[in-house]
Amino acid sequence: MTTGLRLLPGLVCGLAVGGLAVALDGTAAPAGAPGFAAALTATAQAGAAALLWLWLCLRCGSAALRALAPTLGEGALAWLHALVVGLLVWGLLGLGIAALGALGPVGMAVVGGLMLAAGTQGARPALPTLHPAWWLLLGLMLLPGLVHGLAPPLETDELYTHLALPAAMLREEGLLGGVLHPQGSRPLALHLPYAFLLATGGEAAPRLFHLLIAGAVLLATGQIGERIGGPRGAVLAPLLLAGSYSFIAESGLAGNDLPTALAVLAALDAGLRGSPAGLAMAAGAALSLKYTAAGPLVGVYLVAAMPWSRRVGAGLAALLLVSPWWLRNAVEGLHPLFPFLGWSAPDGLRFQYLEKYGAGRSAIDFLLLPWNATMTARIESFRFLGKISPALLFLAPPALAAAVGSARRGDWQAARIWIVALLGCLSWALGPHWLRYLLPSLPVLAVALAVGARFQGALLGAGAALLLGLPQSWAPLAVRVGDRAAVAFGGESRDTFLERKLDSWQTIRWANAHLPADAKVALFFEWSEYLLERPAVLGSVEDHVPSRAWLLEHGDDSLRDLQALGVTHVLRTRTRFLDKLYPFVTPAELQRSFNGPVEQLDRLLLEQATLEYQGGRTAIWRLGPLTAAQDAAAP
Amino acid sequence: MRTSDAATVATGVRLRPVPGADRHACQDSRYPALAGPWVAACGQDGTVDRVISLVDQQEFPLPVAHASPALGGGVVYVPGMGGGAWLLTPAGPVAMANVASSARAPAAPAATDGQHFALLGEAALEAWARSDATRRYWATSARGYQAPALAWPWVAWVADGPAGGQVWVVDVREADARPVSAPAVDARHPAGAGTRLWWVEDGALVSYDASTGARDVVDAGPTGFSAPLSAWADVVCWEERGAAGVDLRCSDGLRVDGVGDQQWPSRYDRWLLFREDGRTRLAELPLPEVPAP
Repeated sequence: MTTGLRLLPGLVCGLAVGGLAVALDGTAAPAGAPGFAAALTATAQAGAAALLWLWLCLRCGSAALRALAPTLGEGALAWLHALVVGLLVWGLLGLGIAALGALGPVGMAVVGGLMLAAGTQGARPALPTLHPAWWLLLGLMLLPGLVHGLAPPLETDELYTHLALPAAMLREEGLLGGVLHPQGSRPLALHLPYAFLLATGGEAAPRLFHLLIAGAVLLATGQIGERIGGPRGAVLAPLLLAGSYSFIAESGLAGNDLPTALAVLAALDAGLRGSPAGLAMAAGAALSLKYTAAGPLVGVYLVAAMPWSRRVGAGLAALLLVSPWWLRNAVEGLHPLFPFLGWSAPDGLRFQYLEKYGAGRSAIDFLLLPWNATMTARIESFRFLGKISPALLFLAPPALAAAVGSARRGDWQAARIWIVALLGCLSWALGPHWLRYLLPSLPVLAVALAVGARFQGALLGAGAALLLGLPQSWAPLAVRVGDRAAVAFGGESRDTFLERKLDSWQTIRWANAHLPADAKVALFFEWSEYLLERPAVLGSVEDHVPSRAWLLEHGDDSLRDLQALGVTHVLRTRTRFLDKLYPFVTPAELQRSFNGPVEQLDRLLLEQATLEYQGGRTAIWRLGPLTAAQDAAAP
Repeated sequence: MRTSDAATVATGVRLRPVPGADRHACQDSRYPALAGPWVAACGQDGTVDRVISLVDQQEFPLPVAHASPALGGGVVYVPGMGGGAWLLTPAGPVAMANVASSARAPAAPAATDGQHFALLGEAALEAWARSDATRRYWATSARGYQAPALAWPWVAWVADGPAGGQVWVVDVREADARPVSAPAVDARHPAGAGTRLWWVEDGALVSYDASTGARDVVDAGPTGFSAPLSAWADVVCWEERGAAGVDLRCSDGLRVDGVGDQQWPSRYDRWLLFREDGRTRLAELPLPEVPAP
């Protein structure tokens, strides 16, 4: 009898007793709160969906590996490659059905069926064998993420993209994009799977899936860390991640940085093991998930253990796997890299100001960047917007020494990983100095630094730095967990939680309750598209770029042109761009490109619209009736 | 954005700023507003927490701050537990005893005329007189944000209707309320004084005599697009979209217009409080001439 079968009766009995306790619980939930049983049911549905799709990714990816890169389908990291390739396949299949306008139950069932059928051709990839204590530690490291994942979403990135976009695609049963939905023109290799998860498991499902991905990153980091740092590396590398606020805070949110990190790790392993097909698939997946993977991927291609001709071929193949997203943009008349490039507002519109983030961009600032990013970062300010463990900085010298020493002895593995890590960090340094953008490279960096554990003193010092730095990362996490625990476990209603945490919730709640079912809302200077239960356009990215771009391009016709596209209402949050937050922009440019559009919108609303509701700084305006000429011209 | 110091009024009407009213911006754009001859103004957190006398410019803190209190008849009313009603006197706010308190979560600011109160929740309207120990209520589907209006014993409010909002009226002596606005229009911003109610239907200003049921359309330009109506005695004031921006008009002939936008009218007696390009200003009608003996 297998171990699983022997354990099953005990597990079933335990679940039965526990479930009965929940069902018979007479404790009254606070007024309006759903209660623990309801929260548990929702969690179970979300967890089941996340696990189901994860399993389908593993099986489908395993089949693809068997056909294209059989060596990667065996060994301790087979599960990693299967998961990444499965995610790539899932995203591409999702693109296919969404492009056909079939992103509904039937289309999703077809995709699931195809993945299942393909999976019958693959081996079942084995999860790594770890001591139970390691699984427990892994669970503890991901506990904050679990609470975040079960609480209603508050992070702007989820509210305007990572949940908003999948929800909007589900509503339309197809793709969105262009100026009205700029985030929909990015590669959607993750957002289409998130749509599947939302539909099958509810709001928590994409976040629990992402939590599983975070766990996978920790596992893979430990396994690769063991390869070059031995047992010490296996322990230290994931602890460097778990000791960093930016990693753990991201773990329970629906994001794309950690899935990209997972794909980068897969690409690294494939490159070091000399598998061109595996490298192409992992790199294609990484770039499809987030373009910031390009930095560490360049390093992987430089150090890959294969001839240059094979590397070039693998590179072209990776680009081919990303190309469907570029082709889609081109077919729709957009720049292939829209929304990052290709805005057509008068006098140009800069999508992102690198100067906004970090601690400066002078030559001295770049030299001090490792110190500043580790020691002076602040979680809630543009000074890196996050926190990583000081142990990362401490380990740099001994790890570099260890890698150089190994290379002199003819063992180049550590040095290769160092090159990938350095190029990843360099590419991050050239972009916005936001620690979350470092996440795709951070696991590779952690592995590279774990080599320093070869030195006993370095290991002890790293442990001390890790422990001393822990409160800086985990104390803010504890505050967030405490704030969210009640709503995560059914002790506080979703409405009460959002009302006290989100300024615009009062207005969005009114809109959900009172706007006509066929209302279409333009969001100006407001992030929270996901929470609005109506079709929406524009929304916010970076410095409210879509809102400003529309106003700069359409001028005094901004509202009439929206009406001609079927927009019936405007949801506007009162905004003022302060010069002290934009010292790198001239006062004239700040007025022309930032505050001018805000003032223009307020004037147009007063001239042409009707105020329906105002809660705090957020208001809903109803657009007036079209003129006869505009009505005739409307599509 | 237009900027202007150029509000204009008829000869004899005095325009002046209101010192202290703009010290801090209010969370709710409907404030600062008049509570009798007092300006209810806001503190640092944007809640209404003080009153300024128009007569002698004395300033008093309110015992309880609130983002959207009910103002009327020289009274400030804050709903909910910990709230209350205060009569504004030259010596400062004086708590009014025995004003019934409601625990209902308001869907809009409450209304008061100094002696009567109305509170609109998501699913019910409550109304009571100061002397009442209990409150009557009528089930409704409140549209929210727009305050109810008092023309006691009649109370008007906005509920969800087929084309947006629908104005309902109840005589508090009766059991049933009834819709009074035209059926297929968006009706909004009820205001009341005496036995008369006003509201806006698709931009047109409607006057309604609650005692007779007679309704008229007031000669007014497009209104109701931003601020609510403001009523006192038999006078109603409103915003109007003009060629040069938003102007203010009152049914007794008082007008405030000019190059900038004049908004958020709040009328009491001979005073009209408003905002021009974000600054609070006061239009003051001259005192009526006292005939020589």
